[in-house]
Amino acid sequence: MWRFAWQNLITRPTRTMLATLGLTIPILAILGLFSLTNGIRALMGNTLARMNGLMIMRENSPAPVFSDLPASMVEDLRKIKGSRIVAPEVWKISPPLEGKNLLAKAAGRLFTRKGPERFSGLAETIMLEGQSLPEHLNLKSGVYEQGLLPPERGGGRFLRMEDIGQPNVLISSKIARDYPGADGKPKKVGDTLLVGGKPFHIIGIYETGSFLIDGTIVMEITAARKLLGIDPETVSTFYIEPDSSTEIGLLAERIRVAVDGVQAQSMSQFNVQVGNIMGRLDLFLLLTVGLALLVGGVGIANTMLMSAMERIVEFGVMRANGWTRRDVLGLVTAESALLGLLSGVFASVLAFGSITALNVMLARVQLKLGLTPLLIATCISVAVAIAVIAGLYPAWRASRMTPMDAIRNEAS
Amino acid sequence: MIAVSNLRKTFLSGDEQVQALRGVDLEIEKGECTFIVGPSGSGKSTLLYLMAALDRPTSGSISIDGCELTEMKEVEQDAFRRAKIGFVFQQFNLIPNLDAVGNVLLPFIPTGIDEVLVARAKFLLQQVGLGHRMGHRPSRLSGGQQQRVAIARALVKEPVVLLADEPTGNLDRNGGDEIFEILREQQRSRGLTLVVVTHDRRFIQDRDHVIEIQDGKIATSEDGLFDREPIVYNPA
Ligand SMILES: Nc1ncnc2c1ncn2[C@@H]1O[C@H](COP(=O)(O)OP(=O)(O)OP(=O)(O)O)[C@@H](O)[C@H]1O
Ligand SMILES: [Mg+2]
Repeated sequence: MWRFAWQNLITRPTRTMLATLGLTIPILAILGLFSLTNGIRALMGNTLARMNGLMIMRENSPAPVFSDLPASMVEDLRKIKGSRIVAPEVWKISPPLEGKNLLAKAAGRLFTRKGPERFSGLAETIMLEGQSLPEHLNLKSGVYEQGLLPPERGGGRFLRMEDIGQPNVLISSKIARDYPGADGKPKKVGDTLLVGGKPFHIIGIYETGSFLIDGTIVMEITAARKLLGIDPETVSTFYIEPDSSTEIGLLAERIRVAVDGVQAQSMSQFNVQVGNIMGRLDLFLLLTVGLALLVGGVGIANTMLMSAMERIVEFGVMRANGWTRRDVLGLVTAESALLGLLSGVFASVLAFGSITALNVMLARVQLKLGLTPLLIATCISVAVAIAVIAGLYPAWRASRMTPMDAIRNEAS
Repeated sequence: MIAVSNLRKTFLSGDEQVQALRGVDLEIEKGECTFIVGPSGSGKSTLLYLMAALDRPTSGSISIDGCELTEMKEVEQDAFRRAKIGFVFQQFNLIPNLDAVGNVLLPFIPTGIDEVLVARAKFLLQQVGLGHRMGHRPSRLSGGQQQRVAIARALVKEPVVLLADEPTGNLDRNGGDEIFEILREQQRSRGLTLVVVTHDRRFIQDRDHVIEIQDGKIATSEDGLFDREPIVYNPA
């Protein structure tokens, strides 16, 4: 039966290909989009799981760079039971590096670079973080310090108390690559980086493996204030670590009660939020793609209906030879199922190929598209299911007539 | 063997009722060779299709080999067709996507095909003189060859009844002669009950039974049709 169904499909290769393609494209879209959200989710998880602390921002500010808080708030926060360290930070989008405006640079790359490099400029927003050293040096979850490259790869050192007021910075290995020295080689420890036109001394190079953090230039807070023109009474955020006996959610709750006008976000909460956004994104994608699937399904239904109507006499002849109504139904359904399977497998092969290629390109931003076997299996099943559903009506039409009516269909 | 009584079939063609059969009674003995003749539109094909359970009559009964067709459920009719009835069409009606062997094996595609069946199909194709064309698709066979494949397909089920609706209607004189040779040969060797609808009386032999249909009824000798000169079929 399956072989016969398959033969029926391949005798009309063009039609089969077109119907298959109609379903392949939406399935491919699903695979692509879901592996993208998978990848982003994994990335978020990696980044934020490292930080066991609370980020205190001004209420309603979407990101640290948009937050401002009075520096004096540190006293209120320290008084809250369970907070071990309250570390003031300033955050801003970095002024031009090496004399290049970042946006202009991103645009420039689009035209001057080839391949994946062209677009990397668009994905990077470099941020500048100023850390208050007495507190930050005592954090347990110092992501930059832990991310320093090993000495043999030129990692250098983290900030020290004597860096207060000094134009010393840590940069990520990615920034080092993106802003090479005069010799075209990546910047190393000991080199100078022009930030907002002023020379800064590179003392350390880190790599956390997460593109959210790896776009940050880290320096001491008074140096950052001087560079960015932020007065000493203002900070952007406070990073708070709980003491060992306090649960982080509880600490966040206490802060919300005790201090007005702030939001306290645990990093894991942040993660949940990201998850929510991604969930909503998934839903949106699902709707869009659902529409495309519907169109693909209609294409298959149309193909199957055409081919079923053409073969009414054949079906009658099969009935005359002892085929049951159900056998005819089964044949047409098998043909639709094969069309669906073909679409699903075709889409999976295409997706696998292009995602593997994309991942090589995206390695720079540590984004790895996640094409899981489960996702592939689901998509193939969805393709088969849609094709079978689309083929039901044509199959029913094909099996509905009495054999005599079917056989005389064309003859009359 | 075949007993038809008071068989009526009315078609609805738009608002109009077409009475294709209006009370047919007949009996055909096992192993006989019977011809159904009559003018175009008289209801010959309809009668034959009803005998193959390809549709249900409006009223009346058909019994074949002791089984009452009109009392069977649809799936029982399907099984009955697979087990007992071979049918040969004027248009050959082979499946274009299957080669000769595949077409012969068509009845068994849903139930599964084993080597015994394949061997039987190949043997039948040899018997009808197509041993050298087994792998050919219908489009690469002549009309006569296609009809021989169709006969093999009707016989592969080892039926008790073989029904043929103008099997030579689409063939030239030589082709028609060959087909009738095969039909008669198979009928004799297998003891089949053969019922053939034809326009061409030259195939009718003395021992054969002839049923003449006119306007949906069996014509009696008073209608004078039995004595008429044989019509010599001569395709354009
Ligand atoms: N599905 C149908 N709907 C309406 N009328 C039909 C249908 N099938 C057959 N008829 C009518 O029934 C009558 C008998 O048709 P049938 O095909 O049995 O005749 P026939 O004797 O086989 O003719 P021919 O020698 O031309 O094949 C004809 O008048 C035909 O128009
Ligand atoms: Mg006819």
